[in-house]
Amino acid sequence: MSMVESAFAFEMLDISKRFGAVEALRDVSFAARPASIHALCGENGAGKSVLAGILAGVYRPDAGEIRIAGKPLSFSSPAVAVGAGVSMVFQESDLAPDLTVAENIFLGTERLMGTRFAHVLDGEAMNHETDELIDCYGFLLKPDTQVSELTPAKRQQVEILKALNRRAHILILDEPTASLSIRETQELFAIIRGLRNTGMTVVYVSYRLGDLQEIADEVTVLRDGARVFSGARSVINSDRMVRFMVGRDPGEIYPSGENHPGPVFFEAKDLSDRIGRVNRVRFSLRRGEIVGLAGLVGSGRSETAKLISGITRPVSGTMLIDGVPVRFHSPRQARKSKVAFVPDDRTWDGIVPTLSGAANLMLPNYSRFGMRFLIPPWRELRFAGRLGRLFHLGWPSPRTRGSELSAGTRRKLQVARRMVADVRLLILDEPTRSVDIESRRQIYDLMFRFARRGRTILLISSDLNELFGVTDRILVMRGGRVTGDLTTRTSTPEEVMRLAAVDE
Amino acid sequence: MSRYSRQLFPFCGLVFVFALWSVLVPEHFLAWRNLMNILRGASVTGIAAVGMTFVVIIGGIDLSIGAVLALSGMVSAMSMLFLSGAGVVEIGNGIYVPLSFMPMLAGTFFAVFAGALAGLLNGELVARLKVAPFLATLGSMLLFRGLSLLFNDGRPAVVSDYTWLDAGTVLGIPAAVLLFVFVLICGGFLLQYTTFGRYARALGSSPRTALYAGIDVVRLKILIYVLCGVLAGVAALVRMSRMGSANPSSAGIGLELDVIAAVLLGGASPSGGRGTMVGALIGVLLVAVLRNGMTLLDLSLYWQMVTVGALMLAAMAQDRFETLRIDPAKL
Repeated sequence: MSMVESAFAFEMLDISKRFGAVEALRDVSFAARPASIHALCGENGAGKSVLAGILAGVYRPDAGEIRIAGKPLSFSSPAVAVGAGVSMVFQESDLAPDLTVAENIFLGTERLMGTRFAHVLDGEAMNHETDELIDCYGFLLKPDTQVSELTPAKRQQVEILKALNRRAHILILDEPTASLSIRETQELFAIIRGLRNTGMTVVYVSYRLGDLQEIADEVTVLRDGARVFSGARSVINSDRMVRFMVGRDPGEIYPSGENHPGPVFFEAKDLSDRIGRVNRVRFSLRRGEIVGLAGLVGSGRSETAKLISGITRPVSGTMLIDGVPVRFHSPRQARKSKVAFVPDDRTWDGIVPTLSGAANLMLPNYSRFGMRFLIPPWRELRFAGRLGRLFHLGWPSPRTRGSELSAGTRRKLQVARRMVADVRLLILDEPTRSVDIESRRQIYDLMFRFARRGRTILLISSDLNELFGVTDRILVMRGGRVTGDLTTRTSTPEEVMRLAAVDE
Repeated sequence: MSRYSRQLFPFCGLVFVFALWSVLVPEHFLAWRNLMNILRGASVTGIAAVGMTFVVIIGGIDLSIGAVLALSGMVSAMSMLFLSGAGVVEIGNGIYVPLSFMPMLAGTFFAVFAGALAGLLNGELVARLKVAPFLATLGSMLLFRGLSLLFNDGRPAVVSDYTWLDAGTVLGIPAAVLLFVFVLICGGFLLQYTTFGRYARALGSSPRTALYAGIDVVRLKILIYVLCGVLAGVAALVRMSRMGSANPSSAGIGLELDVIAAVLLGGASPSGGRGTMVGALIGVLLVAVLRNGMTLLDLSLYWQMVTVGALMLAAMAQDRFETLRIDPAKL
């Protein structure tokens, strides 16, 4: 079938990819044999989705080579990759909701009825072929159902059919079981195995160790943009996989010293959000405590943070501050109760690029410094200068524009400006992601000083080393629920990973 | 078919309004002449609405449609007059100039051609330069209107002999109405039975999916804006036949409002992906019948504005509620 004989369905050799200042992949090699299910796993940010995206033609590598059945190819777009037989089923659904199942499956590859000069869509033929595909794989779908009416599991089936219709022989699935029930997951696994048995190469991108244990033939583990393991699944168990994913951290960047948390002052009881990402979450926080919130992407951590800080409203459950029930209708109200939230840098670039660093720093703090309406520039600069020194912001000057500050300074600024006012609970979402080592050390230092003053921090982080270096307690979430409440000192990264990734 | 489920409510609305006027002012409303007038007037809005429906389906908007109508009208009329031997004096003073067949034919093509060029400008701005459609067509609206006024120094171009689209009838049905129906059918065919229409719906529904499926999104968007311009040109011809002239200061003024209202009321969604020709028809008729009845009841133009505006807002709110229901994360 292929011109060049090769033992591999595809090979990716020495792939490197950089996004701005962040190195997502560094000389990564990855290959899979035909008729196999090859798992690609790693923590958040390890680079697995980027690698899969490069294979699927979504990203172009900065360096390295891709070979399909021994032939070197380069993909300028996903459509080109599809032409070479590589199809990807994305985490966020890649279907047009207002079109039907058949229309989506044939999008871009429509069957036409020709007259001499005009080609018209052959709807009947496409519906018929869709029916055949559906029967062939035993799905319960109808060609003329609108996709918007389908459940996530069924939409995924449509996407798989779409790939099959395009004659894919390499199928990439990115976190396919994220929105599936246990039963739907088993159905999916049966489908995947069936595909493999007909010769398909399946690349299964996931960090759900339970899934991988069950379905994978081979496993490749990435960490921090590099490959750390590749081999048959039978030679590696959960523990070893976790150890590969977690690794060790260089140097002493975590502050030493003990934290002595005080009494409980915040409680969440059975909190649930409207869209179902947070499911009866309960936990408590003490004064002067740094509590970590661990879990995989999609486990509901950021959504929980949004509930607590007033960005979204819970549909049920209560929150208590000092024993008094509170309801936040907006972040503004939450601030009145001294709760503040710093979102992660992917969602929101919290720095206003056109304003000065000083203005950015003072933005939530003007009234605290007696500037309710008028802002005398010299006052703003004076306070900002003082705070800049206090927090070691390291900017060229308070006057420097937001857009010209370094990433590390920006992150420090965002964290520090919330520590100025009398905030009692500060929620940080991935504060040190894509920040250099020195700035990270400084942010941890800020966090410690904050806690020493009797304030509380809830730290959402995917970096297990960070969690173990900085927190007193770690809450673990999976699938919208709190699955673990561990004392950092007496726990291990493996335990956290297990609670976050493995379905019990 | 759930494809037309969004048209049910507007259709009921149309039936209701029709019935209402039939009860309140039967002698005037139900007169054959009145109904024909409604249809004739609706033809202009309707032809433009077919083009606008395509634009809305891909999630865009074309505010310049009225100005394009005026511009195409002027281009068409001026060329007809010049080619018939008229001089600047006659054109400038609105003196009657007999038009021969070939100039009229040429003028007809020029209207379509001018509309296409205007649409091309809009398309390039939106698809290649990625200017927001609202802003791009707002600017081009001014540009086109200004150009149309330049042609004859703000004065209308009188083409009294060009009446075939209005006066001509086939089996008692005005030619304009037949043209409208023809355009509707072609539009519907394009939308449902060709890759062009399929890709437009996919693009509006999920731009990323369309891109990854290998669809040439830029080309598609440009073609759709060109189509809208072309249809505005065709609508200009119908109007010219009715009025016997092309008037740059009054042609198409406020047209974009009625057209957009019609398209939205017909069930097309501003967020893209949803819209049908049937909906466009219902929407156009709804607005036309509504206005007609209100005029017959001696309700001022201002009340008409309020009503159409309120209905437009209601249609938009309804669309947002539906979108939120399907995808509550889209807050």
